[in-house]
Amino acid sequence: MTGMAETLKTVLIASVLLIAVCLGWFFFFYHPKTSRLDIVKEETQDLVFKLQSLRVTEAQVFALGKQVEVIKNDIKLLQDKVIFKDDLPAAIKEIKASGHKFGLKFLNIIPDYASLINSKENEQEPNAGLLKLIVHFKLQGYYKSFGKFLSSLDKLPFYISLGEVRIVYNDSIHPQVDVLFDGVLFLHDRFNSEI
Amino acid sequence: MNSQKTDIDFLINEKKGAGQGQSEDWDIELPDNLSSDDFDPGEGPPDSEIDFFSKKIAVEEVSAVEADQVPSGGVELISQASEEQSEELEFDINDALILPEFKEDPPLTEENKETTDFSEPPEVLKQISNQDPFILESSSQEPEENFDIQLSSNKPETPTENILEDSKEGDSEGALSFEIQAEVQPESEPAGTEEVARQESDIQESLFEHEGELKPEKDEKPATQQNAPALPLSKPSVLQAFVTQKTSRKDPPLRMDKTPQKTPLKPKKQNAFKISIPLSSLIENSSLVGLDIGTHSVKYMQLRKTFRGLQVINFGSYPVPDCSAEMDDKQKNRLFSEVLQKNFQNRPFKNALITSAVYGLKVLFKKIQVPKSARKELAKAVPWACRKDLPFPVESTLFEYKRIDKQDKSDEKLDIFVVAAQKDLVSNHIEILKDAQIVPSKVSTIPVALWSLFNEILKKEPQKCFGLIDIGANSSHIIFIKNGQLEFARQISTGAGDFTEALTGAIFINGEEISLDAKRAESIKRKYGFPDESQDGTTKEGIPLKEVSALMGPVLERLLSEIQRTIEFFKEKFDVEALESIYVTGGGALMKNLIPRLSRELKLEIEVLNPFKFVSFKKLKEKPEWHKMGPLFAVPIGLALDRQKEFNLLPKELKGSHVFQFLKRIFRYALIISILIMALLSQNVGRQFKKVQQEFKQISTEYEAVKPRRERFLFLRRELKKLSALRQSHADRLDINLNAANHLRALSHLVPRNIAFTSLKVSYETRKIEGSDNEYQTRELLLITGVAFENNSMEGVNLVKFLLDLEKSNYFYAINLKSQKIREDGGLEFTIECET
Repeated sequence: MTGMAETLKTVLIASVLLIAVCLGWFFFFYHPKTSRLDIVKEETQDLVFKLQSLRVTEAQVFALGKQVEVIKNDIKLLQDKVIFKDDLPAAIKEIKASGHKFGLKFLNIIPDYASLINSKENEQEPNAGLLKLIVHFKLQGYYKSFGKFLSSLDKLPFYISLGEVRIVYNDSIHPQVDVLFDGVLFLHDRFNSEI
Repeated sequence: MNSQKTDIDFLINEKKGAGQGQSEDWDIELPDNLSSDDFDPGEGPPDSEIDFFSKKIAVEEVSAVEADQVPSGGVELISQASEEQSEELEFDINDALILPEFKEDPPLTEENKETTDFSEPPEVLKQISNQDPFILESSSQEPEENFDIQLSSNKPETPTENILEDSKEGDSEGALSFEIQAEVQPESEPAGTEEVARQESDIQESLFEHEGELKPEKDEKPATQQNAPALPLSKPSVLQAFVTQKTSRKDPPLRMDKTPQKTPLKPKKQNAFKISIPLSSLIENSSLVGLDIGTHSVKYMQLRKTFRGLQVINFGSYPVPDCSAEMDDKQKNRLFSEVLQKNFQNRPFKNALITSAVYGLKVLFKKIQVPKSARKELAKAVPWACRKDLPFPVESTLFEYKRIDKQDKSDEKLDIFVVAAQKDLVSNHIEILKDAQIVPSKVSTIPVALWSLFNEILKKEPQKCFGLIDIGANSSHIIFIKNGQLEFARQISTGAGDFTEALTGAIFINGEEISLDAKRAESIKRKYGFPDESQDGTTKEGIPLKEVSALMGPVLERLLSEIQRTIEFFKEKFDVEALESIYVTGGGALMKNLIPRLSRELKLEIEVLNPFKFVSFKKLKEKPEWHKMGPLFAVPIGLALDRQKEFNLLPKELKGSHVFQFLKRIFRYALIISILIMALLSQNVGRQFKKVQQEFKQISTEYEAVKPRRERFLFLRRELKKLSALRQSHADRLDINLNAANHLRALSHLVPRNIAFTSLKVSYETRKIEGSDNEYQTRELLLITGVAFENNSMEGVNLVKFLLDLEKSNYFYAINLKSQKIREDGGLEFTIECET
């Protein structure tokens, strides 16, 4: 029975060892693993939320596609009425022909190339690809014919906008007048041949 | 040993005039094999005690001669003291019960005493007078035998075979316990004993039935009066009154630490651990086991204290094979250990607080008075105060004592009840338990156990005085309890086994010799008890019951005399007028006619104390006849209930060993639980990791599935944004303005006949909107230059009219006549600016 003290010592040492093992297990195995587990859980949860936010339906994709198509169509319609650079002479001829129909006599047509350069420099969105070209027209004819001519400009297959218009009385051609006006033509920043 | 023991009884009987003419026969003819039942050599005192026995013979011999002259046993004994002890005779009469032969022991000679630490009294005792109040122990150490619970077979190794042989021969005297039934022979039963025999047979039968339950593989029918001995029982122990709850059988036995130390009583180092009480209190709910290792049987009682009272878990008794005379102490110890180990190997003693007891002449009970002193002083004072009464050296004695609370607090003396035991005795006892791998929490004594039993189950009025006699097989213990305190205890060398012994040998009836061996004598004793002198009839051997009574008479007289003397001594010494009642336990309490005879002779109310009345046990309810066995288990129950710290004879270094076991067990559980928890948590973490990984995989798969659609969606969104911007850009850039045609048309309707335009100019002006930084507004300006003509100087009026017409039209506003000038030709030249 001298082992009584040793027994208790053994029990105490074993208890301390057991506690040490338990603590070691906790701090070196369990705690790191649970911490890692918490992190992975959190990441997984985030991923779940992210996935849920990313999840889109076919209907949404279809609707969005439709919107894109409509916009594309609109843009196409717009771009179709914008002439290419190399189509400019034909367009002016067409304007001239339209004026002739109303008895107007074109005295001179002067494209203002400088306005084209300015238009490029002021381009906020280079990719838009649209340029403005101001063409100065001088013609003679009746006031009413000129009015009708202006009214027919929107029927042209390309966009033209009116700038400054000046009608001047001229005794020599009375009752006809001299008309000076600026027509603004919209051009693609490329040539038709480039397409 | 046997011869020694036989000599004792022979001489006593001869001197007392009892058993005349038979003593010599007993001495000479006592067969060797018979001695195993009644005088177990293995349970007798060791060799060192032989001297004591021979001395005791002398003492009792003389005391018997002088009995008429000396009023009390104590004085008798003193009168036997040798001349060398004469100074001892000057002691108070309270010292009287000390056996002088112990005082003659060499360790206590004057020379030896000088070598002890107790040659000088402690300071605290220097003021004590030479008064030693009470000496409580004066009996010889004799083997104990509980007659009715076991009568071991003569051959230890084959006890069952003996039974079988006996039964085959038609001899109903079985060799095992509760063989009362084996004696039943209805055809020869004298009238009046049939009912008793039947009851005893019922007990036997019920026990066998119970055994049948425990051993289902034995399909023998339950024992009856006729066939019980013939039952092929496998183990002798099985035949004992052993009851076990089957549910608890699987539990392994409590095992003692197997460290090879063989000297448990050697002084320990100072750093020996002290067990604190709170730890012990942790296991207070453990079951309590009382282990009574007797000379012929080992009885145990396992119970638990519950709020409903005492609940028995197990109890049982196992026979101890007889020891041969050639056996030395080690062999005897081994024999006891084997019995314990064999029978308690599967006992559910886990978490049990086991209390066993030492007894015999090497145990001393004494009530002393010492001045009030500190605990340390008391520890020195007690051995010193007891030194004269010790039959062995103080150095080799373990002392345990308890202060007895006094009602009179002003008394400057302390009453202390001391239990002292020789270290060798306790060491020997512990060795036996240790070899049997039993760890005791306490080693107590039988009087203390009886006291605990009394206090626990009877709970009588404390102010009264009660006596309790435990009549064992070879000795009896008598204690007196006053105010709930153990006041006096004494061991009496006469026991129930002496009645059997009185019948053993050759008896001459009408000139015819009838030889009775121990078994038959025991059988007669059990069947008839102590027959009345006037009782007619004979035993089956043909012995008249009157003769039986005459043979047992001297033993009864001796027992009565011892009890009477003890009671008178107690009354006188403790100033007790009358005893409230006396309770009897032990095997002797079950002996027929003995208790009424004792009561009649002593003129006292004597009652059998059956502890089974105060405990609950399912099996006892099922087998009510077992209640009769209660007195047999008084000591084991008392030991189980003995939870007093004070009287623990375990050496200091062993006290609390059960707590160590408890700690070890707790640690084992803690280890297992810790491992389980760690394993479960690790598994749980692993499972969670797996789950999360699976979830992650699933999400990844889903993500892969969603990805193309998502990419398409994102592409379309980007495209939409881009195209929207493009469209907006185009729309912003394509600022088509063809309003000039409308203005000219409107002017053509508004211009009067006498106004001619010289110039029309449509221009645009862009300016910042007021209050805004980045917003611009483009205005369309119309500049009209013309001339108004009128002959009657009404040009101005026409111009005004034109201006009003412009204003009235919804095409022009902010009309401003910037200039007007009359020309030489009378026309009015003007310039108008307006916004369209």
